[in-house]
Amino acid sequence: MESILDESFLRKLESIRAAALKGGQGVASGIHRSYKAGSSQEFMDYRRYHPGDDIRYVDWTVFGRTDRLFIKLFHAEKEQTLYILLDVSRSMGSGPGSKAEYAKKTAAALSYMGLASQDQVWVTSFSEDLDIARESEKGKHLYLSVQEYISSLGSEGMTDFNGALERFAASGNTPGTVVVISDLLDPGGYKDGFRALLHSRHKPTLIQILDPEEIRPRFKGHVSLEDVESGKIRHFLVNKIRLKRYEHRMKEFLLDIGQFCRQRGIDYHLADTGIAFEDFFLGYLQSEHLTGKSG
Amino acid sequence: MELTNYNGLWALGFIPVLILIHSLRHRSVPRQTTTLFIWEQVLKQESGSVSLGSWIKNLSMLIQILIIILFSLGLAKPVWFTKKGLPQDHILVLDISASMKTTLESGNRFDHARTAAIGIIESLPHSDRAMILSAGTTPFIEQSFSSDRSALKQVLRKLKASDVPGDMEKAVHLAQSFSVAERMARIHVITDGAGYDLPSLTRSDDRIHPVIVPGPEHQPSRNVGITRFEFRKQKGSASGFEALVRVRNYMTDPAVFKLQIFSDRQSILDQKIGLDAGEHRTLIYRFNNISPSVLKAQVTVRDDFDVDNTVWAVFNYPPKLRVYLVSKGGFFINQILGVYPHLNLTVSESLPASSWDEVVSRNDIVILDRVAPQGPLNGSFLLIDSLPKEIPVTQAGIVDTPKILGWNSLSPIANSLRHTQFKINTAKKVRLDKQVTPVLASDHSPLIYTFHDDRVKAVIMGFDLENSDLPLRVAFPVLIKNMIQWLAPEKQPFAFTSLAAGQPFAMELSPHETRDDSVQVRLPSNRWERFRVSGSRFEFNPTHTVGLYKVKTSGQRTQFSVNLFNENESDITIRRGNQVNHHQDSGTGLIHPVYRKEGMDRKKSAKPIWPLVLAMALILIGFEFMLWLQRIKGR
Repeated sequence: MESILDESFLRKLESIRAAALKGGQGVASGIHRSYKAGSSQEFMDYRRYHPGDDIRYVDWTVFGRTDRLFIKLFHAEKEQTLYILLDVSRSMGSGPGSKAEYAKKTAAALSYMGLASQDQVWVTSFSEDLDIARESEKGKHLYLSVQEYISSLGSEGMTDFNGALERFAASGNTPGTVVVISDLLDPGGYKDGFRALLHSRHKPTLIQILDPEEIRPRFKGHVSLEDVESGKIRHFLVNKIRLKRYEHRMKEFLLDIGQFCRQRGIDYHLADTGIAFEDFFLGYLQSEHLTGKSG
Repeated sequence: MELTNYNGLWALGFIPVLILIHSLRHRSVPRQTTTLFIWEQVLKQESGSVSLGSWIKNLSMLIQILIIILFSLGLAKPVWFTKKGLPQDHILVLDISASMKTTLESGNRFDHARTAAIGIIESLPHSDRAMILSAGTTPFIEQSFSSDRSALKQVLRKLKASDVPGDMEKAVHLAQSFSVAERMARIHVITDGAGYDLPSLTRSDDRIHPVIVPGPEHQPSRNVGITRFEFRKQKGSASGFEALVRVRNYMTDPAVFKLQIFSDRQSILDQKIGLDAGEHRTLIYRFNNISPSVLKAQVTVRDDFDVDNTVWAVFNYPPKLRVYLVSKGGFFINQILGVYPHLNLTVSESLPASSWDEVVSRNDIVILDRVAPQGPLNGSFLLIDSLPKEIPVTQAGIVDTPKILGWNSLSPIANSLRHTQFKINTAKKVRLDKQVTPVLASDHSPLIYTFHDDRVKAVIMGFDLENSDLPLRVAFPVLIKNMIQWLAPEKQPFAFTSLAAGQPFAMELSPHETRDDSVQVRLPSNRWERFRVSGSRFEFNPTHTVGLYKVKTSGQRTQFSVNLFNENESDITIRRGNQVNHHQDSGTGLIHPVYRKEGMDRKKSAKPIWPLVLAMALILIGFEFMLWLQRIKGR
């Protein structure tokens, strides 16, 4: 089986992860570690009781001294679940620079980082539907299994982005980090899907992968444009003015995604397949660290 | 609007070609995309709506089609008719043919036509112009386009009907030539509608506006007339004559009338004749022991048309032609001259110098056969193998058995001789001066030639008749006749003594008469008129009145008659198709036939609008150019 990621890149990821463990604040911490009031035995702090809090965590000793209700807060367990949802619709497989390959590399790299950090990693794909037959993996030794699954994925079917994410959210998975890798080119939109993830207390991250030709098309003249998924055809003249209008509209589309994600605390990264994958991924890890999302 | 050149519409054929080119240009390149929904949003945003966008997409083709249509329209020379405003031209075509002399209860048809024409002139707006054409045998412009009402009416008042047969078609064609697209004139044809088919002449042209005179309130016209009158000598009789008279009753009732023939005012026939309705009869009479010079035939009947009631025939006796032949035993020339009955021939073997001048002045033609002249040439000569010094010809020896190349077809002496060939043993070899005209050419020298100046008229045969076989040929008498006719045309018997009205009279003048410079003619009204002549032929054209004409020169007196002799013109009945369905114009009071198109009632001015159409096409080309620039910029 051909490896999705070459050995040199995997070694580079390994060294990054090791540096992160030593410093405790490495660049890799952002993807596998987040702080939250969790259920481990390591005490973290007190806070006032609010109606609805679990009364098992009320510190009755403090109550006896102060006549006030405080509950104990503990460090959440460092082990977390990383969900990777990979878009494998037909649109991901089209274009000169294959977005599908780019997406697979991203998914593989994230899986490796998660597995190496002893996180639960759950990789699955979606197009019209969500592949829920997969089980989560844990342990670096299982990377080959994950890689095998990712390699086997083809680009087929239409995109039902909202439907797939809503179905994932409704499946009752333990809340965790959900990395969605997609081009987001679904006329049906994307917002309802993310709303469903947020509602299920997942922490979504969006990595949008687009081809440069999709962002700035270069063709001109009379064309018959056929949608790769729906097969719908439109005949019209593409000239300089229309190309500018297209770029403007595409920019609006991307800004709208960015604004939506920012308002809802969703990490959003745009991957241009014109940029080398390694450059993108390392840049992605760096941005996660600098924006303070690291653990 | 009306198109005056439908051939210009051929350019419309480019439209399918243009559409084909556009359809070829719009062939799209298939591409797959993942962002069709973004493109659709772009197209939806463009110019507000998708339908407007598709309209703009085809705008270029629509503009180009419009340009082709406008160019095609421009080539078709469109004219715009305006009902008012622009001044209009009018052409009044007045029928002055003999039938217009038909008498009515008051005046004649032409009087009514003149009144109608004056009425039209008076009803014209001040800015309009009018032209007056008279329609006789040949149309004549009596007054060119003018807006001077009084001048136009003055011309109409002076105009009279003639005795000539009319040719309305020719007059209408002349009027149409003045009514061009740029300034479309209205043509008023004022006529009695007799003798020709008016509807067929006017129906096809909206510009023509017929006015029929008189109106239907008048009684049908009546006429009995003589349509042919000929007189000739009876064969085999010295004093016997035959007369042929053709009479016709044009009425719808039988007619009884008196036919009389007069010879020099003396009645030689008085006969009562009855003809059924529409019947015509040809009568032949024989007369003996008369020597008429003028014969007159007349019918006495109560009808409305006098022009064909009296006819004339003139009998001109052939004048004697005096010919003096000087020949040393020329057998053939002597024999052939004796054949012509009107020729008074004197033959002599020699002509002494003492009597030369007298002989030359007393004879019409002097023939010198192998004899040199004994005095100066002054008159008409036939010179056979004789070459006097007055003839500007240079002799350069003798030619043996010259080969005939051909006759000069322009020379009257070569009439009917084009294919004649004969043999000559020897002939004079000559070089002709510019004043000498060759008649018969050979391979080495001209053989027969003519010379004509103020004093001498001569035909020269450069060979001896006895040394050729020409006298044995059929062509010989024809050649001699042609020579005599050319040398003394004034002494030829007239081939015509009676002319149809409007036909010109012509006569040949001798050199002596030509020098007199004038000819007098006595008209049927007994008034003498003097006419200047500038050549040897006198032609008299104003024969538009029937009657007897006399011609007087210093050397001769002759006469000829002019008669109508036209069955169509004598038929003064207004044809059924021409007279039905009249209506009276409330404005002018004139009678119009209703078969003309309604459009002719309108007062229309034609204005060419092709420059406007062309300007619109050029504006569209400019607009299309801007669109093209915009498209180039957009690529």
